[in-house]
Amino acid sequence: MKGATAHYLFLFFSLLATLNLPGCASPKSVIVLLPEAGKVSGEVTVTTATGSQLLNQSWQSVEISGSHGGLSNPVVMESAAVEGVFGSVQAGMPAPPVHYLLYFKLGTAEMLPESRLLLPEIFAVIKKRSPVQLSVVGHADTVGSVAYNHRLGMERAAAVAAAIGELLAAQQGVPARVEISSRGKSDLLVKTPDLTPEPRNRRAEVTIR
Amino acid sequence: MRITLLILCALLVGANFAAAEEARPIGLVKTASGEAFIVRDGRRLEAHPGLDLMLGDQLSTGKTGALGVILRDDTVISLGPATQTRLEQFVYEPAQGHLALVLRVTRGLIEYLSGKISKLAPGSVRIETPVATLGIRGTHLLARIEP
Repeated sequence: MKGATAHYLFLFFSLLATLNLPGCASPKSVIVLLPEAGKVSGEVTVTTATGSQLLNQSWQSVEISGSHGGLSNPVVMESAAVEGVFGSVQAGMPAPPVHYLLYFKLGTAEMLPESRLLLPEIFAVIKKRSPVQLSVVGHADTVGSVAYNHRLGMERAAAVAAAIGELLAAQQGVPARVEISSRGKSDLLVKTPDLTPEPRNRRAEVTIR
Repeated sequence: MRITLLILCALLVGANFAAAEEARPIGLVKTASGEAFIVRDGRRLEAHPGLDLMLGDQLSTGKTGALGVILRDDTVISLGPATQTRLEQFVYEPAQGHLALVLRVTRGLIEYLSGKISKLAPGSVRIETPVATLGIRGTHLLARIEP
């Protein structure tokens, strides 16, 4: 009986060995650069005790072997191999945050009608992603002083937070924390000289995390 | 617990922003399954969606665990099984131009999608591991770390 068990174990391990790719007996560290929205997402410099490698093309990868930090040259990793090593971690990746821009009338915290129409959609996204962290950042165009526009940005953010808060309050069980802040006229969407009315800069950015 | 409608009125912001920044959550857990934990001040918390993350938190998973988080600058991180990480540094104050992110990965599998810190200040994001340091500009990456 014992002999049989040992035999099965041996078979099992032989099977495992055949599944393993050559060189994978002791897994090495691997870094892979992924695309973002179909394009190169940026670059990564991998630095070890023995050297450094730059990844700047989608699906490029480097291997780092064990204790001495030996680095392979960058090679493009096949998608099947990526799936084999990283399938579990990719499956668990949360959907990235969702952003909305809402626009306002000149010098007020009153949303434009077409922006107001987006509120139900924003609420639906919050509900779908719940539990979420929400942030609303208010902005202004360059008409008026820094202090005035900071205050105006804050009022805009607060108005959006209140509108979302009303929708949330109407439906219990959708927990959300809304954090508001203002960038005043310091972070323009459309660059303009000072004291320039620009509708696209009179906005609040809603981020649903 | 179920109805936590918490509107943080930032009208207080003028008062003492820097002090408030210290204790502010830096992100939240979005997905958790199997053995997935946050270790904070030596205490082990079971990770669940909606749990706040604080600076210095250790994120870890067991053999069957998975954990997905989003940080306040929109950075998205996923941990595969048998993974240990720590949120070493997180500074996101775009108005002041203070931006930094250091993630320590001791072992395991991660996916990382950069957020605003990396976009506003390329070069201010690092992933530190026992075998290598990753300097990030961008970016979206996968890493398996075997110390």
